[in-house]
Amino acid sequence: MGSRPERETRDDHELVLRTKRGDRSAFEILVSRYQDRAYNVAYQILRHHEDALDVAQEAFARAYVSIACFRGTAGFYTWLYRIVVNLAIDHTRVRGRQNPIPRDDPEREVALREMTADPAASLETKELRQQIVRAVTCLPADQRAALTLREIDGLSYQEIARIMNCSIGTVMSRLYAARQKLQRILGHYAKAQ
Amino acid sequence: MKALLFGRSECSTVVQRLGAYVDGQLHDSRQKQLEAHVRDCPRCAAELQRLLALREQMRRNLAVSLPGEDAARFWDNVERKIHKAKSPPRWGADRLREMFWFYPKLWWASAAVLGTTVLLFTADMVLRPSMPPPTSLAPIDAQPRTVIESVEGGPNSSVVLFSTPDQQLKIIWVLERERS
Repeated sequence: MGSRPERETRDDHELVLRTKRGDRSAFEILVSRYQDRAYNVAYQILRHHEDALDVAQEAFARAYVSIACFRGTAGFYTWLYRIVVNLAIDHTRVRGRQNPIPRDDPEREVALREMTADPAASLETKELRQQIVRAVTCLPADQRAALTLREIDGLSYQEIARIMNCSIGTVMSRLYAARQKLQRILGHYAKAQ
Repeated sequence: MKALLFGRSECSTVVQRLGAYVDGQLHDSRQKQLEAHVRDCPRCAAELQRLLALREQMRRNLAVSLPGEDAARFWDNVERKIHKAKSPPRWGADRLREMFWFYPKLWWASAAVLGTTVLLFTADMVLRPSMPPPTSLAPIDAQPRTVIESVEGGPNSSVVLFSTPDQQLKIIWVLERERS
């Protein structure tokens, strides 16, 4: 995954303009386009399904209410992600859920599906996934956010810096620290590939 | 072996930049420089492999997608939240928190206003000339006593002579009518 294709960004701009003119169906298209990604970012930071869902929906609602403030200098998704990341990080601060234990979540569903398909081979995969999830959960929320935006959403450092309201240098150091910590925690799992 | 010639400090710099290298975020010249180093340094090459493996594992294992039923209800819930957000503004701590959340510059503005107020107050306290001690002031309710010593008047002017015995002052008040 790389940065958003230019055509998609242009479409977003058009949809934002229509939303500003009061066309709610245009905003509905934006929601359906980004709901999965917004949820994913929130989930990686919060590691909790209901909270992530709530944060993603709240982020869209806030984006709609303050759409007039969106000047369009950056992409819509950059602006939306910024709201999602801020809300999610605030959420971890308020609830003190820096290190929650994952409950019923989509990851468990994926693991269960794999178990049913090939129980022997999936044991190692399942263990590895659990190790990775545990390792990522140990990271501070801002490092987790930077890592998610880079590794899963494939955003550039500049985009991440804009979303997280920090410098590119800070993004680099957050990613470096996160990766170092993950390698230390995962140890032989990371080498096994 | 060329690899053995690399110093520890160069390797530690390379390791710090490996993340940016695999992300393709380095400038061309630095990218080539790093590639050349990794080609000749087994230690950094192993580090690069570990980093690539970690990235692959993360991409494969961390990405989640919105469960079907939540995806179907997503827009309805967003609409509900929009409606709630658009209902008449409530004032109080919640509203204030929301305002600060939406406009982070408000933090700076508030801090600047507070700082300036404290600074002005402190400067006023420090720089204001000290007042004479209250004992040297006359009591507020003590009106100066004035005695009219003489009044002399003519058709076009009059002179009144006052004195204040307490402070040993004499006041001569000359009134003159304008000549037309």
